[in-house]
Amino acid sequence: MAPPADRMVGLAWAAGAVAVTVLAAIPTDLSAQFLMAAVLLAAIVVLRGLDGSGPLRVVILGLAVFLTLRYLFWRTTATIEYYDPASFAAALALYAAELYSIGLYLLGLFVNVHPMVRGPAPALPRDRLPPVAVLVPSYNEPDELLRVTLVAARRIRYPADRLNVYLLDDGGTDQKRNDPDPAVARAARERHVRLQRLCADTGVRYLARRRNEHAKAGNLNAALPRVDGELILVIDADHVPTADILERTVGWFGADPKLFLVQTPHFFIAADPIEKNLGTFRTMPGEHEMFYRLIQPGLDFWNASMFCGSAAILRRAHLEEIGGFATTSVTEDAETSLELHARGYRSIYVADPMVSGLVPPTFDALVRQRTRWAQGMTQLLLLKNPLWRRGLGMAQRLCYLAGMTFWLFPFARLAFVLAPLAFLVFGLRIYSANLWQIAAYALPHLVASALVTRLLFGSARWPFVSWLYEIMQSMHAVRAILGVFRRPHSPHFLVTPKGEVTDTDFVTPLARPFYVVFALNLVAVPLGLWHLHRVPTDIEPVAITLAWALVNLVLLTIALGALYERSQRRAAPRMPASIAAHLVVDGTPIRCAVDDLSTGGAAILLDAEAAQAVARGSATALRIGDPATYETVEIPAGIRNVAARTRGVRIGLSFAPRSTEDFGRIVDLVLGDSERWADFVAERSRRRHAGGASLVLFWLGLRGAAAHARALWRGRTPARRPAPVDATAAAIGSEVTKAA
Amino acid sequence: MMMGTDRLQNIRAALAGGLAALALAGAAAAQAPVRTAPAAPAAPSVPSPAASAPAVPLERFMPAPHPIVLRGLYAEQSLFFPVSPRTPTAAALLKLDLTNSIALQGDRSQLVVKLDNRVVAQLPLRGTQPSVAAEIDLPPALIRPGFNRLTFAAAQHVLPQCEDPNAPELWTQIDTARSTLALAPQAGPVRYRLGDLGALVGPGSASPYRVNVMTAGAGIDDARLRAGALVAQGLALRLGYVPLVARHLPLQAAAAAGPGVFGRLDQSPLVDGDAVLIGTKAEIAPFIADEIAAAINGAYLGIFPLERDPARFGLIVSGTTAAEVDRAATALTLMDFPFADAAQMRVDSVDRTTVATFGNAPTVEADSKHAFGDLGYRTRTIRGKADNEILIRFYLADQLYFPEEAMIELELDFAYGAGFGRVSALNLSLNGRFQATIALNDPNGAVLRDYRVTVVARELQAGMNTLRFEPVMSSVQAGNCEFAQFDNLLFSLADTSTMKVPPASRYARQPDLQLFSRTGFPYGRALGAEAALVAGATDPDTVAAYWSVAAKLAQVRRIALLDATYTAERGRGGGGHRLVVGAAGNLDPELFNAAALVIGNVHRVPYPSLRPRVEVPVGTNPAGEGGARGGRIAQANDLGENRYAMAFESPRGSGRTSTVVLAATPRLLRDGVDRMVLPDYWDQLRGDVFVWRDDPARIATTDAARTYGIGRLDPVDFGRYFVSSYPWVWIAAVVAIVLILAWLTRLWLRRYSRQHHGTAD
Repeated sequence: MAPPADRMVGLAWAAGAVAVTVLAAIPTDLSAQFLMAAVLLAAIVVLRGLDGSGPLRVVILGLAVFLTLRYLFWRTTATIEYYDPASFAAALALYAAELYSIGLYLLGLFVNVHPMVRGPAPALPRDRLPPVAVLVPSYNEPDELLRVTLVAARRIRYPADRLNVYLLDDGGTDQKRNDPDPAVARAARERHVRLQRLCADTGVRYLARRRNEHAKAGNLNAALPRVDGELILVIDADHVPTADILERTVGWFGADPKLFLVQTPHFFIAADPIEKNLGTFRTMPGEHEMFYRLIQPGLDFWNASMFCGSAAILRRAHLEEIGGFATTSVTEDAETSLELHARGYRSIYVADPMVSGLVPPTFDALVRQRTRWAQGMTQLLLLKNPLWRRGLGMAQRLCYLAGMTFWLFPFARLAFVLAPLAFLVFGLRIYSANLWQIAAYALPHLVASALVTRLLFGSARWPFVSWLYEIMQSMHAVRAILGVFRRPHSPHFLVTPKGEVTDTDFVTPLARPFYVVFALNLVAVPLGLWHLHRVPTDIEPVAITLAWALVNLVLLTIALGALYERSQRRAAPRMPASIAAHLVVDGTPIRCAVDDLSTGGAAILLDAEAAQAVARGSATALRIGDPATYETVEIPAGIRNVAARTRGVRIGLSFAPRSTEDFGRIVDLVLGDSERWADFVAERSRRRHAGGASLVLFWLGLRGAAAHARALWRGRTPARRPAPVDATAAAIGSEVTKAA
Repeated sequence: MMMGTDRLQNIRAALAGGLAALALAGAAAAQAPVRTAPAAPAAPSVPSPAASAPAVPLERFMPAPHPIVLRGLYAEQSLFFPVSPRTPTAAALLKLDLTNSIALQGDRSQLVVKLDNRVVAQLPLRGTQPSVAAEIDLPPALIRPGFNRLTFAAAQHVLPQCEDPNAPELWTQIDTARSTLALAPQAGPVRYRLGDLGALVGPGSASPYRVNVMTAGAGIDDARLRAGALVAQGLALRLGYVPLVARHLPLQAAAAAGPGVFGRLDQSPLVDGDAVLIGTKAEIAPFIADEIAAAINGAYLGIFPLERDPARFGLIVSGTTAAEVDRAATALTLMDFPFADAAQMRVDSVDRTTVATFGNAPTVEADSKHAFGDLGYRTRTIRGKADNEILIRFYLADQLYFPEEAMIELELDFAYGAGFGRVSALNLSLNGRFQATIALNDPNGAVLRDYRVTVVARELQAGMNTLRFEPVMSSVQAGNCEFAQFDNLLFSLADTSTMKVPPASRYARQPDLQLFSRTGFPYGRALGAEAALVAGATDPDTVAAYWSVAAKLAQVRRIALLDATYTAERGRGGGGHRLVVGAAGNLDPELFNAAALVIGNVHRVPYPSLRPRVEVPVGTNPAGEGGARGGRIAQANDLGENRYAMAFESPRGSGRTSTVVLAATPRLLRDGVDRMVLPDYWDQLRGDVFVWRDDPARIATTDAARTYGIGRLDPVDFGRYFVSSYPWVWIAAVVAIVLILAWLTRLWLRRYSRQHHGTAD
């Protein structure tokens, strides 16, 4: 029972909400609507300038919501008319898509109304630090990739007697090793042996279960009885933890016995295929950042931050209470947190990136990953709908509902792409309104929602990027999601490929549906003009739908640019750095600055005088501070190339580790420093002007689309993608291995 | 008949023979005497038998005064003039003042004048003589009681061949202000029948129609006030748009009794107009013939010529009791008399249950669907380029509040011929405003059914509405030397076409004198229940003004206000809407408590803000709805010759309207009302204060009173109306509630944060 004061606030709020709803529902003359929209939009713009992130944030959201409600009421009562069955069906489909989008938008505002800002974790005395089991589930990842992850896990700063690292190998299970296919069985046995050796080398315990049941969740559950630790740190095989991940998270568990989860962001050091193909990785915030940097803190405020499968610490006792990680859906992570939240346990989100990972390297891998997420969340919506789930608070229900319904976007996005075609190509009447009405109702709603979206997510998302990603995923995800509606239990876990590289550009085999939609939108333009010529009085619907089709064409153009897969010779690019160091030349340290780093080497900057000294001798090592141990270490290295700069030179170093300790130091240096990831995210998240960002995106998309067209012209039709160059050697640790 | 002046040619019927080849000259037998001359200087004319009759400008026979312009190779326009049936027309003189293009070729260009489609005159149109004044004696045999059609058809040429039919030089303009028609009535005895009353007092009557209402005694009580008002309304309803001006006279005996029905009545005060005698048998028997008095043995109506001027009639409205007098007056407002071919009748009973409005225009209501046939329209085919519009007139009885997006749905059944030019179209207007167009561009012609066109419902106005279809039909061949075939230009609109009026609330913003002028609102829905017509005094001038206003009210409402309260007592009928007519000194001071203009020792007068004069389109309110009201100035002076009509919320009842018509004295009031009921004045009523004197160009109006509403809006319409009328209030409410909600949300978030995270932020 809520305290009386809370009830009073709640009642007053409900009364106010009813009043706002009534005011929004009153039909008016167009002039009054124009006036109201202009005043409210002006107020939003002014308030954003004054204090977009402080107390006025709620006022801005309230004004924007009012404009949206106005549109919603008008859209519902005034724009749906019956002309003929086909038009009516298309009109209802578009209306449903809009209802969905508005509902999701409102849920999004609720989730993000007050993002949680957390300070450092409470400190725990050493003797109270709980034992932690680091679980690294693996299925088919290359050994070198696993080596890096396991070495990094072993070097996490935590008392050694309380830290155990486990490799949970699902590629070497009894079932795999005895597969009826001799080749599969042989590969599994070899992998089993190799990884046991790797674990022995790195101080990690190797675990493999009997049967491959329930995929990743089953793997983790099978390990739970066999591992030591009150807390479980789950790290994906391609996620390399920084040294401080436990220092900055474990303390929260000591402060709250009902805490079941501390989730940290997934930070990626490689471009996803869309970023890679458009060339936006260094300049544009990553697609995942909006969720990990902004939405998860919003969820955290409502005690609804979700387990994301990796980079998370969970309390083992709570997990065991629900029988381990949930296995009903193919998104075991969200399902597990849903179950534990429903039992009254709490979660925390720490927004500092403390793992660095890889992303699906190609568009089809990305689609496969996202389709699995969409299927899993749809499964949860159908099988464990948060609205009816006992034990959840209302805010948690809404947060989970937002998370699950988001993944139905392919239906809405396709409706929006196809809607103008319904009129321009097929002559269906789908939206009964004139230009003035749209300007009075729809435009203010769109502008207000754009302003609010920019306010809430502008630091993590450029304009149109959400539309782009959604359009690109929609074409292929729709069928899979429909399949879940037909058979909610049917989807199976498909492992997302990671770490592959290709040495040629190619058109993704998934591009074909985009050609059809692009062509339809392209044809719609002359058809619309022809319609206007025939029926001049249809100027308004033609103008509206033509403008709509043109926006679709712009987005589809960018999408076509992103569908031309660029070659990728590194699984992980060199990441920028700015670290003072010394290059040891013939035993003499020469001051330099590290400009970028990868596990294979580094680029350093020297002034002209230092460059001369280097030229006279032979470089043997890089002396640098180890962010994991805080000690100054020397990493054996040789000069690979030298490039003159305006002031001095830029030297490419190749690391040459001579021992496992050297390798560990390289991992510490390159992947173990969470501050570097924070700096990188901050640098990429600098706000850009919306117009400028949009133009950059369009220009890059246009460039990519032109390359795509050239490739088609040369006869490179969409086909099965080229095989990876060398999946093993291409993995994140390949350069280290080769150097060693 | 030939004149010897060099400026005047008497060409009479001779021209007809020379131009017999014209297709239009089929009625050559009716060729009339014509005298033409250059317009300036004015030429002496041949005396016509109708020359001494009053000449009426042609623009008086048009819906709106404007010149007739005939453009193109061939063009024609018609107007209709009314003729009273009480006296046959002895002679008619049409004076034309026209100007034609100086480029016209005189040997081939001509103007044909037709009366009811029979050619009565032909005039050459010469470029060398661009200004023409012509006098045409119209054949009286062709002039019939009722409306007569007068057509002007011009055939115009500037080249001997290969002409552009739309060349800008092809024009002739008839000045309808200076062109006149004079009708001379035939002298002789007139046989009056009650069955002819609709024609005797009909739309063809001279404007304004004058009637002298005579009652016994010096004063007048409420019963006779009511009977007089009903009689005035009964006559006014028959007059259509012709205004009625009443006079109140006492019945007085003639100094020397003469023969005839009214031989004992002093008819000398009846200088103009017909007479109506109202009173019980006992009251009027001394002034009428005995045999007529003997016939009054119940509610009685009788019509007889006045001996002083047989062209005028005397109408007796009487009975043995006051109730029978009232019944007779009531019957006059309700009966359509063609079936009563008698000079007198007794009205035994009046059944009001099936009372319908007079006139032909059908009434349309909200949320209804009407076939054009139900609106009085019959399927019509338009041919060629001349006869180019279809009008559908209907009456909207209520002031309706339509949502802005509400649309009238027209489903048109129409057909058009083959070979139309690309620019052919059907233009649709409602109340003079263009609404939509339909291209008539199928080269094979088309027959279309249920063609859907929508018109904004707010274009409907209370009172009469006109839906106008104007097919613009051009031929495919239209080049200079191409044969232009117009016979294929056929357009037909079927009476099966429908009009669907959307739902609406019955609601009117008050006060609104413009609405009052168009519909009489709020006086008299359902026969005037809840309405009181109050006379400020019982002197003849006030009563005359009172009856004139009552008659006008019936005309605009298209029904007599049978259930209204008619009184000269201040206290009666106080709870409803009140229409008060009186001299300033005779009015109840309490009445002015809510009025914008307060009459007393010191007047309080509303003034609009002084500002530069701005040209305002006709039909808009210069002050703007709810706009600046300016100041209110207390001043000490008399009202002078100003007359005022003002409307405001009644001090006796919320949501009730008081409309006051006043002047300084009864005589000024009567003269003022005589003008006020004329279209030049009445049609300018708007705002809530209307001030006039003797020049319609100097009428002033303003909005000064507090506004309020009459009627019932459903909750949604009420919200729409309020928010649309006061958007800033709405916006302020939205912002206020959003701010409160934001504050509550913030409060709630802080409490939530404190409870769940141990911190307020």
